[in-house]
Amino acid sequence: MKGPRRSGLPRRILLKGLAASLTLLWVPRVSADLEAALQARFGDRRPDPGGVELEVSSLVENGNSVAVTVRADPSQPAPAALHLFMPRNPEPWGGSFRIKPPALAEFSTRIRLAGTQDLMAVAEWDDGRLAARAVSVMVTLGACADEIYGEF
Amino acid sequence: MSLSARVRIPAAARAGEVIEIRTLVSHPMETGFRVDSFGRRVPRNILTRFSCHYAGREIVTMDLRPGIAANPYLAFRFVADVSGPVELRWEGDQGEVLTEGGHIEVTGA
Repeated sequence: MKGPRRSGLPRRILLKGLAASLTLLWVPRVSADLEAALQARFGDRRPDPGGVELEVSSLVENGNSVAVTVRADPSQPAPAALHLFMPRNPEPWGGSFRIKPPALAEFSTRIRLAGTQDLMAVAEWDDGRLAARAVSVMVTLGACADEIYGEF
Repeated sequence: MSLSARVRIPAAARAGEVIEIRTLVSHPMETGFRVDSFGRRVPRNILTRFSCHYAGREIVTMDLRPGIAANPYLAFRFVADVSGPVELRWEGDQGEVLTEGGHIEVTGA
């Protein structure tokens, strides 16, 4: 289904717009983007597995709003920050949550997912140590799909 | 566009109790990656920063990126240790600032 069709709008422009949308939004992003995002935030440091939990549905119908909870492993000293990465989104860095006592090292939010991908949560300690957990999420309808046809 | 937040801040807690703050802001969180039907890029318009002060201390900050869903929801928890104000603040791309707050009365353990 297309959005409201404006009378008199040249088909070429409409098609160009659609093509541009598709190109911008649906180019498969590979792990090189995650690598670049990690490099931008952490320099040459790379996380070890574990030390942080990531709660998210493994199957979501609509990528526009996906509930996630990131929680540091309570058996370890609390990290200073929790980061969230969506490697196949147009911008892989999703957000960074910084904690100081008495706040607990956990947060819940809702994110966009452009498509099926492996979410990654990274905990960062003051001493520079990083830990990460990746969770695979299958997305039936990506965040961008209905945006192409959305209201403007 | 009217910027408004719905927040849930407990009014009272026992000392040492873990309490949760939930927030929901009305905001489009326009990613800057969308293209309108004329092929023009829709400019980015997101909330970029959140902070929470509790009893004068900054206990939580968050950098928000375009991957955060429209009408951003954020919930977090902390240990109620002293009575004091809770101040929540959001800042956005367009220079908009939204503040919300409450007060937590902490009673002895």
